[in-house]
Amino acid sequence: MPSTVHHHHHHHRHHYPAGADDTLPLSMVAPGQTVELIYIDEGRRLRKRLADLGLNVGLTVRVVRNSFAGPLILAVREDSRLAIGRGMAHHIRVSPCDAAPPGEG
Amino acid sequence: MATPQTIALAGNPNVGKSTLFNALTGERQHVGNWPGKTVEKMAGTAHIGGRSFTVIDLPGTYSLNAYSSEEIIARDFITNEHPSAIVAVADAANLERNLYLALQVLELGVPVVLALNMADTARQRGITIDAAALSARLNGTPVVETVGSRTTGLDALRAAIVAQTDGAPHLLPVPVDYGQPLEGEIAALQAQIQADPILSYQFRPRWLATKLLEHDEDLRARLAGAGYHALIEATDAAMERLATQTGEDAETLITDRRYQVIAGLLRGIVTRPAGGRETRSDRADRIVTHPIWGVPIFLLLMWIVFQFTAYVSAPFLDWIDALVGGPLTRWAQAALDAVRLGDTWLAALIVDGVIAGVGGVLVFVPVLFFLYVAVAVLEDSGYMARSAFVMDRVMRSIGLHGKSFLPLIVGFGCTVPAIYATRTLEDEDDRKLTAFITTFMSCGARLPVYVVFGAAFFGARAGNLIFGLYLLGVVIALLTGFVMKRTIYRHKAPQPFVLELPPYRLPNVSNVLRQVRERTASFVRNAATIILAASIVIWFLLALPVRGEGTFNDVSTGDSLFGSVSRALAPLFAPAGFGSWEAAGSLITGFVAKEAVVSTMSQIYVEETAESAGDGADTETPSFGDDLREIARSFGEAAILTVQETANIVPRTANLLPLVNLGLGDWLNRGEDAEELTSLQSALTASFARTAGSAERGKLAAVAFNVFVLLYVPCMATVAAMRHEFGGRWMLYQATYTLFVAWLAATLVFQGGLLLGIG
Repeated sequence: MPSTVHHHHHHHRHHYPAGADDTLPLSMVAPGQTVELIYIDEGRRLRKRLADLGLNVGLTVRVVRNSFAGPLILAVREDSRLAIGRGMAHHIRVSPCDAAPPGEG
Repeated sequence: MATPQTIALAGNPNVGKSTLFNALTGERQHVGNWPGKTVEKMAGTAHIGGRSFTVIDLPGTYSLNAYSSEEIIARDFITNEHPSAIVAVADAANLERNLYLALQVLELGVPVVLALNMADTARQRGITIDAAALSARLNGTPVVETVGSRTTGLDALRAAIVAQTDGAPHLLPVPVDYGQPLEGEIAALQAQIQADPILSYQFRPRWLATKLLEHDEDLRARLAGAGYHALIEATDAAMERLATQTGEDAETLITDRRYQVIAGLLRGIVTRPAGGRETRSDRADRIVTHPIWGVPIFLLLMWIVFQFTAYVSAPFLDWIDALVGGPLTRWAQAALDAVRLGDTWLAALIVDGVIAGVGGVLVFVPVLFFLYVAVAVLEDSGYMARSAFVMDRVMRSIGLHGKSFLPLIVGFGCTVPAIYATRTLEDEDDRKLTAFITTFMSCGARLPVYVVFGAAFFGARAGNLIFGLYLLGVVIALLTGFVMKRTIYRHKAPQPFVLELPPYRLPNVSNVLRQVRERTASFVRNAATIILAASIVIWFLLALPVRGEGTFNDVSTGDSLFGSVSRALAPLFAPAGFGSWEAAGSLITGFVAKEAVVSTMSQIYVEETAESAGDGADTETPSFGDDLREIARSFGEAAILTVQETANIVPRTANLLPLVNLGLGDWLNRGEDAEELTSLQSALTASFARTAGSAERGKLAAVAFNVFVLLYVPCMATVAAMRHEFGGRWMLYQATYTLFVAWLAATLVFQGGLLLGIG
């Protein structure tokens, strides 16, 4: 299980959900891990854009590639693959799912 | 026959929408422009059961929210043009995500046919969909499984289209139930909209109310512009209330609710193997998007694209060049002779102005054709998205993201398609910035200038000059991007990078051909208008005598208006060391096309060849039949050479490796064509030395001249493309900037060289 990373709060107008301390930024998740999206610390436009592409809060995604530099690849809603920039991945808080990473691991 | 009904295809990108469009309309397609917009739409005709339909292929979008111009276009078409039916195309393997758009289309209250496309791929992955049950849950909206590439399910789709457009009232799907407190606020806004006859005529009130609560910026702006301030205030108040009541903003509530509704719709209808399998595309992506291997693979593919455009197109480029310069010109002259206009200025205008000018640009059609083929294959196969992924980190350093890299690479071949290649970028500012710096990538047409000067001034070391110029272009492009991102774009948030990576697939031939045809046609239209006009202007400048003994259409270049303009401009270039009217004049024609620089120079520098009647003047004029045979023969030769050059990509690529040196195929035993430029070269060295003050200084001035050629406005076709894509103002900025940078860099080279004691 990845260790919890302390998150100093952003200037954002939205409230950080209470009791969500066990979250970590998506950018820290190892490939093969499945995580639930808890909170997206981005502006209205971008959150809407992400939702259009199938990425919204409450969703479970699997990290397909994360090389700890450059963008990530996520498996979103069944077989869809999304590349997202590392900067944005820093602002997406996720919580690891209990299930062991499916497939090859 | 009655006016055809209109049906529109809507769907996410990469769901095979275009393939389905091709299958529905066959060859009956045309490209049109959206009224008032530069984005092109595809329209075609489908004949189904004795009725004909106009089919519109809307741009691929993920939702009906308005972010990019393409999405606004898709939405405006649906809401303003009132199509008789919409075919919502969804990827059967990704139904949940795809239904997000389909559901929004259903909310519009237009008859809908839901096409579950690429059903074969879904089945291969073990996904089953109960289409009949889904149709029942959507209140009878026809749901059809299709495979666009194999025309499977097309008959069912056609039948469904006919059924949905037969004029009988159709049960519309139950509107999405957003639940309380959303429904209460929607109802209140809806009532306010309904009270306004104009608004409720223009929009479906419930749809507009929902969109307003989603904070749709485009609609807000439009309503504000039309004076509906009360409605916007009411919307803001409603959003405020929702936020305090639920702790969430309204658009999040609406989005979440839609996904909930979709999950409910699909529950028990879609079965798929237990999650998280690694697909074939994932396995390919392990290598292609690898942090270390990704970049070399990308560069290798770009190299191949570059080879493909530069070498494979060359035989056809030469063929068109010969066709325009030889038979076409002769035939035009013969036709003019036949109507007794052969000796008039009109004949000269047509032959030397129009045919030479427009022909000089049409010569690039093969380059563009092969480039478009390469780009379309990269796009259709799914690699393009990966290239953006791979280059993202590199491009971040100049404030762009990965997708901007491709146009820059294309720019080494030709700047015009490079500008059009920026269309693959979503963000308008990214597009503008990328196009802006693309012109500094040294295109193929600039190379002949470097070659002539390199040989004349540097002999065996010509390669250093050429390589240095290419490098300088890249450096200036990157510096410009760096500076612009920190000046005029400093307030722009860095564009977030979100991109769908579609599964890899074999490119669909009809898709590729359609794109190539569309893009090439657009270039030809361009050549036929603005370039024609400019060619005529330049011809008049060359024909008008302003001094000396000459008369109209019979004047030496130096005595023409063109010569005077050149002479007037020449002092501007004195600080850069090449302030002669000849150099200035060459640069002016270089604006028409860079390859014109060399031809102008040989015209005005070399007096011996003043009458450029041509090399074939002594030989007999070939007959029409001879011409036709020669055209056919040289076409066949070009075709063979094209195949040869395609094959040569392999040795050329292998030769990049150290210690590998494979021979290139030379099937027609051509060898390299050596061009005879000695008289021009000696004239150049003499003239540059005279203008600059000494032989060494002349060398310096020659370098400065080449730097100027590299950096200033590439050509008229580029300017036209820039205007076509970004408007006149941006075109003007760009042209001014390149002129300024070119002048500054050339001056720095010359003056800097003098300071360093060269010359």
